[in-house]
Amino acid sequence: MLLCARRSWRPIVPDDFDSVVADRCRAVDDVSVPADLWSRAQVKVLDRMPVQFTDGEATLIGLETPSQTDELTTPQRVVLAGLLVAAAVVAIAVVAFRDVDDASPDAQTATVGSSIVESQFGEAMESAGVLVQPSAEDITLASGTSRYPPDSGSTQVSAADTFALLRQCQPGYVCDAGWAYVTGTVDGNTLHYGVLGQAHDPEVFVLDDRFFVAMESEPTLHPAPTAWLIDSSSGGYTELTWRDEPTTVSSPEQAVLIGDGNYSVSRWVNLSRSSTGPMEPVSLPRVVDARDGTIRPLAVPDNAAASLPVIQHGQGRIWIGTAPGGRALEVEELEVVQVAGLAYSDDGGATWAEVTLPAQLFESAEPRSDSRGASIAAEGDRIAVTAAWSYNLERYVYISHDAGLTWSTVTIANPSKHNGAFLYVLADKRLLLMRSDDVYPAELLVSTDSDWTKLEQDLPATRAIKNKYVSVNRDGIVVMHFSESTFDDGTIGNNPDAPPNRYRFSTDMTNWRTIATLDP
Amino acid sequence: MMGTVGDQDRVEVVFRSVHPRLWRSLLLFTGDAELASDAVAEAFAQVLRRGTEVADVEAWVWRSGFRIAAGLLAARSGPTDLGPVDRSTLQVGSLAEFLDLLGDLPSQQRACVALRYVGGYTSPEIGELLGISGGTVRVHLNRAHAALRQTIMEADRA
Repeated sequence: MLLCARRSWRPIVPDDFDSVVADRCRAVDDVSVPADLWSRAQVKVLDRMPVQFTDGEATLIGLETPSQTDELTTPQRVVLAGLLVAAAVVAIAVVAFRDVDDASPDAQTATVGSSIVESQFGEAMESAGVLVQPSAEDITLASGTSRYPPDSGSTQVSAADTFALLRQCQPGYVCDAGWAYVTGTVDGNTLHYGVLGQAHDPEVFVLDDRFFVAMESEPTLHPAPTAWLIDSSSGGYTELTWRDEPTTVSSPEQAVLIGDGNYSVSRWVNLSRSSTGPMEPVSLPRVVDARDGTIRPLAVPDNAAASLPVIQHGQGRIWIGTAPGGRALEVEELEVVQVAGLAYSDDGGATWAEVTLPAQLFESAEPRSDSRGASIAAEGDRIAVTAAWSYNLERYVYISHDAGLTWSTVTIANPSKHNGAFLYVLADKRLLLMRSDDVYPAELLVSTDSDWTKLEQDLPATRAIKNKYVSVNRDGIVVMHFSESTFDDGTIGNNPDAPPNRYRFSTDMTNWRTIATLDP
Repeated sequence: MMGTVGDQDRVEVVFRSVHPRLWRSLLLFTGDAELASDAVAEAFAQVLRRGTEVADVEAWVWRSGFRIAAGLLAARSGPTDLGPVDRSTLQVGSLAEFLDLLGDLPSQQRACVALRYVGGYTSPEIGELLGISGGTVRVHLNRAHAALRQTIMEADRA
């Protein structure tokens, strides 16, 4: 009778409706508790047949021995129990649902859960209740590496050591859904599988420490691209609803999706296996709204140029490329006919400040029919820009430390001439310049400390070779992919040196890691 | 590993002190007395099977009870569908009405309401039990309040 009333001493989110709910719940105190609960528990022990579930989220059977927990305080024990429960859930999901004919290198079990800083976006997603936990059947399908083989889709790693990767259903299998995902923590302690659905070569993007977005190309082929949100923490997912109406970012329950540029590893892996030609990259920011499960364009000026992506971390200030009419560096009869610029917003797209790029940039640019014009990286007030392709003997990188008010020039030898270059911002906010004879990265130059005007060449372990794709994602994580079909000399064939787990990632380009659960 | 007699005594002590509050919390959460009973029995059965492996029995059965109940609900009629409330079992009209109202809430919101008002836990404690943050618990509770407020006010006006 007094169960609800005696809770009043506990300080907990009181509001004006708190007492009403408390009063209503007191009715449950009048319900008699069955007298046979203890005996039912004992019968269950004798039966030794635990309740079977179809939902891994609810499965608790298989809790590991927490022998050291005797030394912990009560709250710590609660947390540890939760972690062990999560571990048991993952272990069961992996072991019980794996295809029996798949001797996959993925076949590892988890032991503990991950620790991810909760964001209001994540809280809102949980609260909205739209995240779907994969069914046992979906987990079975997605974890079958014959049906959904490794390295059949793009991969992303976040700064919080979470990951998401996509796998495509192979010909010969009857797959109701074309794409599956694997997500969790890169240390292999958490691993989730799920099935998404049909899409045209979806690319995976880091949204924040916890969430990833898998989205198909836009907008040429799909004006309303199919997109899913993947939760690396719970393993759940939800399909996002595309909306054409632009929006500003005014709530922590919204998250900005930033593309990784035209030459991201994720994009190149898709391009290398796509049979339908190049995809349009995500060049202008998108906004994922946890409140209604939508994804829509960020509100940008009319002259925003989708063909001029800005590599950035996507936190705080947002940068975009601009050009008159939104058409940047268009090529007409081998002449650059448009002048491009930049714009930034510090208020989630509500207002934008225009930035003029140095005119010399375009004088050194090589007009190419496939040119993306300029490569641009920005972080706060700092901007670095260079021509994506240059035919001069020297390459010029233009640097600004005051949001484009003034520019300085960094000159780099460009001995091979027709040399592509791509700029990125590393996790520690250093600048990375990647240049190559073709689309494959051959050389990496890194700024010293925080000074973007000093680019050091041939630093230890920073030299890449042609049979790898290298790029940096929005979290500043360097992602490398070993191509199985391209050798160092550029010839095409089956490269036996390509490792089974062809992804490596790093924050400093010296220490390279892999996703542990996917290693052989 | 099956628990020893000593372990069983330890678990039974916790059972005596916890099970009424746990069962009633699960009743609010599930809207089904039989399902709540099954979840409580299964949670304690699992503790008994593990013996000394479980250090904090009380925390374990609370967490397990809700997860088991969620699994049973999902197996029965989908994760967010409470299904019909067995009013003949409950025999308390106002409670049946309240369970109907709760049945419209998402699972996590129901769990937070049950753990807060019957379980008597704080937001951080609920967060630990459900594996979410305390802030998320507060969001769930506030949203549950908002939803219940609207429904109850509409019912009162009618």
